[in-house]
Amino acid sequence: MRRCPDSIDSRVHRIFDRLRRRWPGQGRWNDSFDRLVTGGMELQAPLAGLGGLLGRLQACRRRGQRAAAGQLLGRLGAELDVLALRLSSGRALLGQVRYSGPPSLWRLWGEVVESVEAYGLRLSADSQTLIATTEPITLSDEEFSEELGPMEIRIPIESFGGPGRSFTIVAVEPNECDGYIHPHVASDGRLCEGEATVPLNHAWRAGMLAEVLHILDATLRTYNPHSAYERLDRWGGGAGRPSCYDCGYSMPEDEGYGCEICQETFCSACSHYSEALAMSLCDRCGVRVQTAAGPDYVDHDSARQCDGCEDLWFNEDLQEGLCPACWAESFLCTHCGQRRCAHEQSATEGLCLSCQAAPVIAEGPAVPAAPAVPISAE
Amino acid sequence: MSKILFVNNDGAGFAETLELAEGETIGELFGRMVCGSAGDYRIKVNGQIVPRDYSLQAGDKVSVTPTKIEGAR
Repeated sequence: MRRCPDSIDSRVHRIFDRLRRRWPGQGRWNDSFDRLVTGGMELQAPLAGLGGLLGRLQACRRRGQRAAAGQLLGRLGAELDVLALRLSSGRALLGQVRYSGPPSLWRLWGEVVESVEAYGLRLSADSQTLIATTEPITLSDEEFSEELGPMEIRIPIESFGGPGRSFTIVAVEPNECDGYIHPHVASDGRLCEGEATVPLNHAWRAGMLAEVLHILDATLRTYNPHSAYERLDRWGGGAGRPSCYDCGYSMPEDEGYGCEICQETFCSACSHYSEALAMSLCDRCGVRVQTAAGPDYVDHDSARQCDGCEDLWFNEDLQEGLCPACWAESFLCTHCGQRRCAHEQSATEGLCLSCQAAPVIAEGPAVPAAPAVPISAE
Repeated sequence: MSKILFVNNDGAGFAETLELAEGETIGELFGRMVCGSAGDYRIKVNGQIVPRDYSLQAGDKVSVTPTKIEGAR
């Protein structure tokens, strides 16, 4: 016997019926509601006090007791202040009242209709799982674009709306890379939700099925290169290509550069050729320095700070610890004999700052003391 | 006053019941409730894409979902 084709209307009815049974009980109000309706505002006492005061004020008016009325008016003001405070607290409490639980039936119906229309929502053969299908998904970044095809979002009915989210993503036309169907879907089909976590949590617990699907659809259509199980550039045959050890970029075979210190392979952006040493270096093993020929990269052991200007230099281009520019302006201290940078020259010509500051300078340049010659008795 | 259900799927926002101004359009509501360009969001009324000048009706469900939501690993 031929089965009647699954019309949209009958599908909506069947899914609605299954979901409606998912929430057999009533929802519940939160604690604020309970406090509000069980006297949380504590209005009875001040209201009773006010009633009594007003009665006594009327009596004072009848009897013409002005002084007593004045006292009572003072107490009335205090009671009104208390009442105003309680009413203000009650208003705040009212704002905190929440109802959590199943969506209303008409709202649930709307969610199912929207989900069926937008994502072809259907029930699995055993009627235990909701299956929504996205339009084909294409992810792109600056250089790569990859068609990953439509994705199915599978939600076990028993878990929907409950405390733990449980759904899986399945590729309809798998275009896998190392076992991954999508950069943000684990190999077991779980989506790593990232920014979607909070809105998904809200929508899931509120039973807003269509919103859950909208959020998941938007997440599946967004590529975050900084946190992917497998980077997009690894799809489309990229899986067999070498990837940069530093940034993970998947390179054509002939584009990798090996660092001669750590022996790993790097892309052009993460690698540097050292003219001074005639070798490739990565960012970690190399350091940018000045050389006599211009800026360059060398390994850390070949870099040294100039004693004069403190710039980092290729050590083979330093003379007595000074770069060529500092060397050209340097001088030999006539006192200590050390080569000094120009900025270390003192006001006293020929002396470095250290020697000028030393007490011995006052007596003139230091000259090796001649050994005392004993005076002959002759 | 007419009330609608406004569902904001951006960040920590979510469903709230809103009172509508007389003749308020979906474009005006978006400008009032969301910081950002309409082009960065999928805006639906009762599950349907509607023109910017659609006048909201009592009981409408307005859903605003960013077109880009970054997953992770």
